[in-house]
Amino acid sequence: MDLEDEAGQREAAEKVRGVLARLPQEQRKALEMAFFEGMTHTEIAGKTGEPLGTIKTRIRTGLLALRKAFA
Amino acid sequence: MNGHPQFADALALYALGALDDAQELAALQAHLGACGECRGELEALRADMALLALSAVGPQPPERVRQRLLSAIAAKPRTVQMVPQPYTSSHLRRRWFSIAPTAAMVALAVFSLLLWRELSDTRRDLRRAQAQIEQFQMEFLTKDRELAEAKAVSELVHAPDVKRMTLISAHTPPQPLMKMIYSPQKGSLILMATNAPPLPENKIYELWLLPADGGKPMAAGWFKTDSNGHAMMFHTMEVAGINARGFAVTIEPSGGSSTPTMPIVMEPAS
Repeated sequence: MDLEDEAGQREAAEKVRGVLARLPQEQRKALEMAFFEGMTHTEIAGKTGEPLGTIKTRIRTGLLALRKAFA
Repeated sequence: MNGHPQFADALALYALGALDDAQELAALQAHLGACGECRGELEALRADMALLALSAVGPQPPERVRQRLLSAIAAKPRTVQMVPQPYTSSHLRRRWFSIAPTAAMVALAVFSLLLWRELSDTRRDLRRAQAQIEQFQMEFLTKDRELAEAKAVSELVHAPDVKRMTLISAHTPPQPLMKMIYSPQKGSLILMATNAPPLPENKIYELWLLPADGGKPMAAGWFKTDSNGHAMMFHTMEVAGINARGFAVTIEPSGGSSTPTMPIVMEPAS
């Protein structure tokens, strides 16, 4: 995909949003907290009350889903 | 996942700058130093993250994301326990990633600004186009009306029953009038003036004979009018037998002049 031109970027942005929307909710939330809110995995685990390992796995799975969509 | 599964999850967190376990961080960094495969995976994860950043720009970033960007900026600085580490390139990248929300926000602001400018440009163009259309309409209406008028005028002028007449003001002020009688052979003339404008005390009207042979104007007597603008003059030229192509009257100082002072105030009716 050509990200140089504006249309390409918009298309890509749409696609990313599509992928995010289809992610399981807990994966999406973990990704958003880490990326958009800048939280560390410890903070996320503290906030959601879930094990550290679970948070880690969700973040990685979410990122890989994005990669797969653009592969 | 290729590479080393035991580091896979930590690597993703590391790419996002969200790994804050000092021990784990140290172990991962040590491993990265030695493992090219995991370094490659880290680069790939960073590319994935760049895709994530894309979702924050574009025509309509979701309100939810916008709100989070705003709150991320407004939020107090994170209190992350980090082990002291040399200022390495990965450290720099971590710092870069930590400002990613701000960067996305800036991108959003820039994008909004571009859209806003485009919108105001478009509005200006629209206003210009509308003004032009109005002008064309006005011009068209004017032309249309002019054409209709011209047609009506033409029809009237050529109507079979047309009647023509001249009206003058019912209150036309009396016009100055001077009547003359001249006999070249006798060399004498009579002038009768009516409605001549009154002159100042030191001015007079002087009559000039314009010789038919094209010679200079010759003085032909002067006169003053009464309070009603009336005057009558009888004058005899110094020599008889001069044919006149016309006469003219000027205003001169008392006593008369030998050459006329312009302008001519009265001349023969053509």
